[in-house]
Amino acid sequence: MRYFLKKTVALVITLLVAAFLTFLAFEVIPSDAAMAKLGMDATEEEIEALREAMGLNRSLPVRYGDFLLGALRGDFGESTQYGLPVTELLADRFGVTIGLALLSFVLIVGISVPLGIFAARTKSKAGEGIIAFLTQTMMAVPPFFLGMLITLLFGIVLRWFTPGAYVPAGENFFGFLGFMIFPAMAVAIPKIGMSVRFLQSSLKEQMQADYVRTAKSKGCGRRRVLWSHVLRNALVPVVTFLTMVMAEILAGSIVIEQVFNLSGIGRLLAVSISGRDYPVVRAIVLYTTAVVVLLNYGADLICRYLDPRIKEI
Amino acid sequence: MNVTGWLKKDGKWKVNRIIGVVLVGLAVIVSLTGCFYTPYDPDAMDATLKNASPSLSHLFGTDNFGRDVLSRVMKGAGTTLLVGLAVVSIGAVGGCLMGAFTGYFGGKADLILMRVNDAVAAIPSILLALVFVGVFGSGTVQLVAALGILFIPSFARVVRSGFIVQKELDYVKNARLMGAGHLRIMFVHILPNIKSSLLSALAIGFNNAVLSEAAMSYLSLGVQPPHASLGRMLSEAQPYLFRAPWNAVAPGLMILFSVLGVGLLSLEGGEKHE
Amino acid sequence: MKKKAVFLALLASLTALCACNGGSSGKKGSEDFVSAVVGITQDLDSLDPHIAVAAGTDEVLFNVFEGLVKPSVDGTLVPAVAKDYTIAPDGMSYTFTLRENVKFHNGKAVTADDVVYSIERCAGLLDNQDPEVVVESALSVISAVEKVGEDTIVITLSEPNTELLGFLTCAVIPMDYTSQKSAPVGTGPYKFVSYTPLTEFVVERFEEYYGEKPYLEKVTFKICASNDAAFMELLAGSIDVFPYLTDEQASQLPADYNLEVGSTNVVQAMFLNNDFGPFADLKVRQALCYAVDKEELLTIVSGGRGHIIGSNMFPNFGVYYDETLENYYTYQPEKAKQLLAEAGYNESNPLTFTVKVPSNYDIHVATAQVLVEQYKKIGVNAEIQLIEWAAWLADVYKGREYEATIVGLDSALAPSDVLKRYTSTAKNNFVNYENPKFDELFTKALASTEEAEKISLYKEIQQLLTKEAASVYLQDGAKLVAVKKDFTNFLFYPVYVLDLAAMKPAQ
Repeated sequence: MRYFLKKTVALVITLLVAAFLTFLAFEVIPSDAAMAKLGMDATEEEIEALREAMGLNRSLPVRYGDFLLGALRGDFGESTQYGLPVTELLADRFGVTIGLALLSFVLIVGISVPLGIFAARTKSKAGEGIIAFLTQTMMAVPPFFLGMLITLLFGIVLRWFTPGAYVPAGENFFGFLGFMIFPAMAVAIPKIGMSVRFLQSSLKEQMQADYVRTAKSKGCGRRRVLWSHVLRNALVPVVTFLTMVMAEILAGSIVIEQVFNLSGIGRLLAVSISGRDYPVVRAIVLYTTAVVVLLNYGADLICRYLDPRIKEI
Repeated sequence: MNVTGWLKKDGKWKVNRIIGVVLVGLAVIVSLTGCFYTPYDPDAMDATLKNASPSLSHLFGTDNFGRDVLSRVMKGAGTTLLVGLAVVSIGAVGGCLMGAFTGYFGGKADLILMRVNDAVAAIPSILLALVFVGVFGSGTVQLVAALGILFIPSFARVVRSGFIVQKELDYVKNARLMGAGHLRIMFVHILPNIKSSLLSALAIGFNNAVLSEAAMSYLSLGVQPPHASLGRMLSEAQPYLFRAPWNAVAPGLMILFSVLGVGLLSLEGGEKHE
Repeated sequence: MKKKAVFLALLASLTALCACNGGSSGKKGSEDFVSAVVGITQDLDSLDPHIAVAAGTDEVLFNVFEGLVKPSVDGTLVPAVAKDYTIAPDGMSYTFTLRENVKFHNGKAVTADDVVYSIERCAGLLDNQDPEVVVESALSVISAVEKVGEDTIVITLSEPNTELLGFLTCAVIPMDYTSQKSAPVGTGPYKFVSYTPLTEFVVERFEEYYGEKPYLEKVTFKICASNDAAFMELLAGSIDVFPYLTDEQASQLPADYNLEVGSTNVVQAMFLNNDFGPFADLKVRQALCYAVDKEELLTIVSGGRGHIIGSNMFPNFGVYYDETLENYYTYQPEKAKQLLAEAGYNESNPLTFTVKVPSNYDIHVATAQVLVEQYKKIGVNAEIQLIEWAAWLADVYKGREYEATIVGLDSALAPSDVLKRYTSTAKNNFVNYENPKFDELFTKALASTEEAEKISLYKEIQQLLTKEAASVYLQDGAKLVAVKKDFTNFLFYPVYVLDLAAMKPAQ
């Protein structure tokens, strides 16, 4: 109980800090919601009038306080660009982003864990070399480039999917899968490379540890040693890494969403920042923060389970 | 430590390490040469040679402006590698310090620093990039600073989780009993023991830094056109993938070589104290 | 190259281009009504036509809204909601007779009150003016809008202006309707069906439209994340019309699409801040004009398509446009060097400046790269600084904190609109150009009721800008449109619109 209380307090602090940083950021960068909204032809007076109407002229603490009060009630205001409630605007985008995130996470874990174990166990230098080459190559391709290649190959040449023909999972689940698997691949491939890399080195590190030697000398089979001890311990840094990956993809990938023409959180964020749509950006930052923090707690819990020596995190 | 000993083990060559050295060496030589000599002026345009395919006079073809791709790669590789190195250095040093202290000591400082860490990790990188442009203007130095800061949280997390595991182990307790100071335990005893994950993080960090450079070029931060950088070249090549794939091949291979080389070198590092 | 571009631009603006070699039926898919998907690359900034300011939004909303008059392909203004109009000889008032039986999409008939309300809203005359509505500055000369009969309204001005008609294309909307931002209602050939942010804007044929019924029954404007993403969808066949092809994409167009070529109707220029030290010197500005090889520029950035311009106007202004200025500054690097030397710049003291370029416009970024190279040849150091659009708006356009910038400016169908920004008091005079002679000529031209006099005055104004090298005028870019061979009759207008109502099936 005490644990959860502590964690909740920490979550709230992080949210407050993140929201405040966002406010500060918008203080610093040029242009504001009123100016971005009214465009080239507006006069200074018109911009000033809209600023007044939007409440942008109030001091930073007042706006911050106002925002916090609203957020407490679950009211994140109205998008300055779209004139829609922020919650509604975001809710529509979540489906895309969460779908993409889950699918790519399945790919990442499903492929990288077996591959990482194989890479760590293999004795053959050639096998190790091939895996090293493969994983490094996967990492080295920029996501936008990978997305473009996948679209060209599977969408245009092979015609396995129609670029831009996204269907929500609720409408047609298999249609959704048939399309989403391709952006998910683009998200997953570089991350697979990285997590194989992490798992491999972590496993190797553990296998050289004293307790493995002791276990071996006591006559435990290599297999059992690997599964019962090594993997458990080796997973700790990997879980930490995967958490960061999950947080990253849940925050929405601007690049992948652009290449595959998906309207998820990432694209909304990009549009909102360039339109200085403060309410939307703030809400997205809060969402991302919550995701990061909660996933980190999750990771800590898993790590504590995997390695009970870890006491306080 | 002699060179052959580093490349050889029990009379057998360490193939990965050799390939790594060759690749990194190639990248370094190409970019160093690019500082003094390029076959053509990397920015010179030729309207009659738009997207010309590779030939004897232009080994890797020309881009959409009729610029020699090879010359631009030679020039751009230096910029990209330098940015990658600098970003990883900032991220690694900052992340190690932060991760080591928070992981080792725990407590209130850990709580607060990790909250800030999470908050920074959650701020969209575009927004942070815009803040840097807003405050410091755009340019390569600002790019390095912005990316460096963005890279700290991930290093911090990796190092912190390593420290949390290690500090409970016997050797740390022994060291403490022997009267070693905290700083000594942290950086002399514990840090070498998480070398392997740290090296992985470094290699991946370098990889990501090189890739982020491309993304940031889009966001008006960092390397400005017409100056070449590998990431920028790759993004500019995107519309011509069908018709002039050589635009992408040369910078793509260059990125691959340097990242692969660094990756292979870091992979072998973990075996040293076997 | 250039001749071809001129020819194409003319052909495009005067006639409806139709290339009818496709033999497939006009029907699409298995749906029993005729529909088309149009790829657009910018989300709509508002559905309320008086609030929307982005050119990309105007293009789309053109199909839903109409003003008293509307532009036609030949650049004249034709009656729309109005049936007829008269302009007072002194240019002080406009009288409009409304067309009978014009209906809003919600079924209500258009009344004179609706028209008065709409114009007052555009001109900023309402008591409870919505602060999001940007007042069209040209309409600020309106002092009153009155209903003088069931079907007649009179617009009274505070100063003479014979070019107001070009701005009365502003949308007529119902006066008591409050959901314009979410469910827009207008009088155009298409009515609103649905809008999903970042996804699509869907319209269907308005059956009670007073004019000719469109052929396409349903049009989906698909909002694509980027030009490249849109082109991928076109390659896959899921987009029927894509109006923003790059030159590179045009050359890769699949066989079942026709390429239609028109002009973008923008003045693309490297605008110079005339208040920035070195640029205050006429010789420096002229040197920068002489140093640009526009032919090479066009070849590199748009495969030779596009129309070279020499002043702040584009060819579709027809009689007002002075085409002789296109060759005023030919490529003469030696002369440029000499002018720079006279202004005190040489190898030991080179001219150095920064060009701020909005990073979201690939064409401007490419142009900047070519110019920087060309300037290098005369010993000028120009550095590019990419800048986000919102920051460009704040710093460059509103704040005027810049040295040089590359951007394209569009215009309403009135020569005054494209030139007004150079008057010394204009709010949008971001080049900081000041010339009493210009102001005087402009006031005269705006009030002139004599067409011949107006033409000669506007030409004189253009010449003034060119001779003074107010900025480095580059081109009116080519607009390359991909149209699936199922359809024909894609019309090009001298303003920034997309007319889907005119589309016809292929024979």
